[in-house]
Amino acid sequence: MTNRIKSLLDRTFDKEQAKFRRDVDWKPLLERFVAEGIGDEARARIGLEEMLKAETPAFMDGERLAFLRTVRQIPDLHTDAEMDARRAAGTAFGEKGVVFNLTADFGPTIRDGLGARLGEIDARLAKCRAEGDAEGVDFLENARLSVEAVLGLVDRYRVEAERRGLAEIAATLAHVPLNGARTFHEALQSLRILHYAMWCEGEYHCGLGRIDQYLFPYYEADIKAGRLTDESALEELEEFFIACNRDSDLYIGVQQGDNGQSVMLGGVTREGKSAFNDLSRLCLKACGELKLVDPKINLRVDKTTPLEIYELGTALTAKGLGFPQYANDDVVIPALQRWGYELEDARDYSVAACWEFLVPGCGMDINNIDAVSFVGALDAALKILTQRHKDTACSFDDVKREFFAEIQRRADALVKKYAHVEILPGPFVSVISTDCIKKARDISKGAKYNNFGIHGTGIAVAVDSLASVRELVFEKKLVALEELVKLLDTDFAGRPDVLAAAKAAPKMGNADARADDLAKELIAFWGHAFDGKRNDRGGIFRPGTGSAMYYIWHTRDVQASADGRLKGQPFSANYAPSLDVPVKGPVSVVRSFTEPDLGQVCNGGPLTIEIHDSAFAMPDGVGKVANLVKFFIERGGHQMQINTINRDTLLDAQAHPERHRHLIVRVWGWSGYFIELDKCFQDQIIKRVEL
Amino acid sequence: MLGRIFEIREFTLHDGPGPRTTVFLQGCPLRCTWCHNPEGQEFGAGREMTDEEVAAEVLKNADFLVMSKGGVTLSGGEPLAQAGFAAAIIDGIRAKEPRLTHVIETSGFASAEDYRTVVSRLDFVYQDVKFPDLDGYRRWTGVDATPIFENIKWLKKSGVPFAARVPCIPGVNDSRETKSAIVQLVDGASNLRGIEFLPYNRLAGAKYAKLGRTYSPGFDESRDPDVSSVIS
Repeated sequence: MTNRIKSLLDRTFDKEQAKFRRDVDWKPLLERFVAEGIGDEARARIGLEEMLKAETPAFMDGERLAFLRTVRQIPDLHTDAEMDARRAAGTAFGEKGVVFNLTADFGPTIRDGLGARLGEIDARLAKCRAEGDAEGVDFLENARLSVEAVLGLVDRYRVEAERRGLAEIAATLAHVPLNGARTFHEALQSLRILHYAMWCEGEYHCGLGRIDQYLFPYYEADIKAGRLTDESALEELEEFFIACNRDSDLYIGVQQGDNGQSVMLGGVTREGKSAFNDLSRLCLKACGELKLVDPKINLRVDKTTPLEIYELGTALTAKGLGFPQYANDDVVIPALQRWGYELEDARDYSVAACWEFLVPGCGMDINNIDAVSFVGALDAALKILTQRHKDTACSFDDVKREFFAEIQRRADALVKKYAHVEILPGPFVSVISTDCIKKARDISKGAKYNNFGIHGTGIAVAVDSLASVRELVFEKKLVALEELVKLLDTDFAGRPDVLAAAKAAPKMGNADARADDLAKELIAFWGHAFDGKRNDRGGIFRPGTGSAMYYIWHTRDVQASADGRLKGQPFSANYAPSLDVPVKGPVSVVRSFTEPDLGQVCNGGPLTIEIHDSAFAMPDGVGKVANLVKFFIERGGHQMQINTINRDTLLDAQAHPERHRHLIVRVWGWSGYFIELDKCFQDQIIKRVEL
Repeated sequence: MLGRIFEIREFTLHDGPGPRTTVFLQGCPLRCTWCHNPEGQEFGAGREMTDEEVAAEVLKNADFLVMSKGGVTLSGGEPLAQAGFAAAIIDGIRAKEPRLTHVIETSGFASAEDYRTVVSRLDFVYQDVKFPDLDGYRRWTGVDATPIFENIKWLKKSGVPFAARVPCIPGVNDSRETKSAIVQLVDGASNLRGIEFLPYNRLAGAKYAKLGRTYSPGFDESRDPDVSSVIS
């Protein structure tokens, strides 16, 4: 790392950039919107215009890539009352309602420049006017103004840079993003501005996508022309990565660090050729040197990926970054195809922000629109059964049947709940998305793919609970079903023997068929729970194995569970063994968790495991852990992430946060600083099984 | 053949080449005061298993171990205290899956016959060398170490690759002189792959309380052991 980068890194980590920030009260703007009855499209554009007008060009000493946020707040575009009224009228929204959890298609606009987009807008606008397409005209006019707003701020930055004698920055901004980038440096500057502008428009969880693909032509050309060496390219990349950590505390998320700035590396090209290149390598190297939480690295692999690439990834795991998160092309690409994605698009997949698979540019999927709690479903099913079978015996098959029926009822309820979803417009993000200008429609109106993703939470707890019910009630006959259901409401009060037996029952993660067979059945059912269902945007519902924050939230709705988990204790995050259960080790965990057909549940949701940091005490630890990941992929795993932790360190960090400012952990689909998490999220990580 | 083990642990990372499955055999004739596996000392304790059962358990992960060029490590307790059982486990695994490597961690306290029977089957040996002389062993491990030194002598000429492991105990065997003498003892063997000076496991104390025993190792526990190498 060069001294310049080291200095930028340290000052960014110490939040020097915060000194440029100010507060803006956007309430008058919102009041104006309501009073004047301004439409959604115009509000989005005006919001962006006002936001960018309020921004002040600011530069950190020593930087070569400009742009940082100086206004803390993003304008609200709708009042709560307005949104509530729409909901009451039958419209559903995903989270805040705006475009979110999306990786835009940055490549084409970096290549062509925003000027080219303006030309396309003008041509299309003429056509819309001629055809009397008022909606098209409205979109394109707002899109044009939003581009001009961005270019306006760029120009103010250029002028200010010139005034301060920052000649290189001024020269770069004179060219991009108005024009297509000519160098790697210009491409990074253009990307920085486009990404920054999305956040200013109100989008959030904005992913960065396949940067090793769309930035590669600039890198390659510069290297060939001798303008760039691997050392200088690394420095450029590192500056860009540091910039991703500059405004991130202003980004919206459930927890600090949950900001969706994901990068996807490797995989295959749209033509199916291996895509891992020298730039992919450089990205991994940059992250390893910087040791920051952003951007969060994802790495696409398949059964032909050599161990060496897994080792490059594992070297980051060894540093405790909680990434890369691996995705398996052999499973994901066919899964997306089965869901209707064209082969070339499927090959071009990235993650939206955390781990939900998305094809940048042509996906307006809402990949995390809701979740089904498997633990809640089992709880409800057991209650229904005990009511129905008051005087008659029921079998374990009845339990499974009722459980699946309850999952189906909950799935159907979600289909109904999201029958009509609206997304609030984003004219600027539409400009940098495929086909929006051509179609003269905002991306919020739909793209090529408009699918909704549904998480399935508490898989391991539900499977372990089923295994426990089978063993305790139907095999050992230790307790009647009705009695067990009552015990769950009282945390097993008065029956420590039942609690002990529940804890000793088979658990998912031990390569034990008595639990794994149930997981296979559950996943197979879940994978088809939405078959034939469509949303009114023409999309399907994609079931997944992720949990997002629901592994905490869903525990609020259930009592104890039959696996011996007491009320209030969290589920495991995503797809992982239950907390505090004895498991043989990570090989058995991988074996168990690759038994189900994961191609059926490919919305996303990684196997999440924790490895003790002593695994990396010797240099050959990297190769050994890399083999574990390779084993997961070769057994048909879909997605995997590894936390390197040490419980003693985490406990010490709770007691003395000031000593652990750099301690990073993987939370659910992202890496964050441990000391910045709420205690319930900290505690859940401490309870995870160290392997 | 029946034997006793106290744990089969998968994905062990510090017990040989590649990831390994380590089988901990129950029972040890030594009583090192710092022992970090006290649950493995008593011969009557642990779980009774046949060599076939142990082999079958290990072989469940054979696909992973082969892929990652790992294998099986026998540890303890003192695995050579059940030499026949150990040899049967190795033979049983090798018959089903010849690609796994076999490693042992041993104090070397065994009859010449037992030692040679097992070691000649192995791909690698971690040979503990705690002291360079009989006095140290007698004082801190409670045994007459004559067979250990005899076995080390044989090991050096056996052709089986080995590393010497020295658990460094503060004020007991971590002086420069003691460590140099240990180095001299194993030095010069063409099959010697390294000498590892390791800090003893300081967290062992907690295990003794669980077993209803008192941990009194007899040295200054507050001091860090000197694990620096003496090979220049």
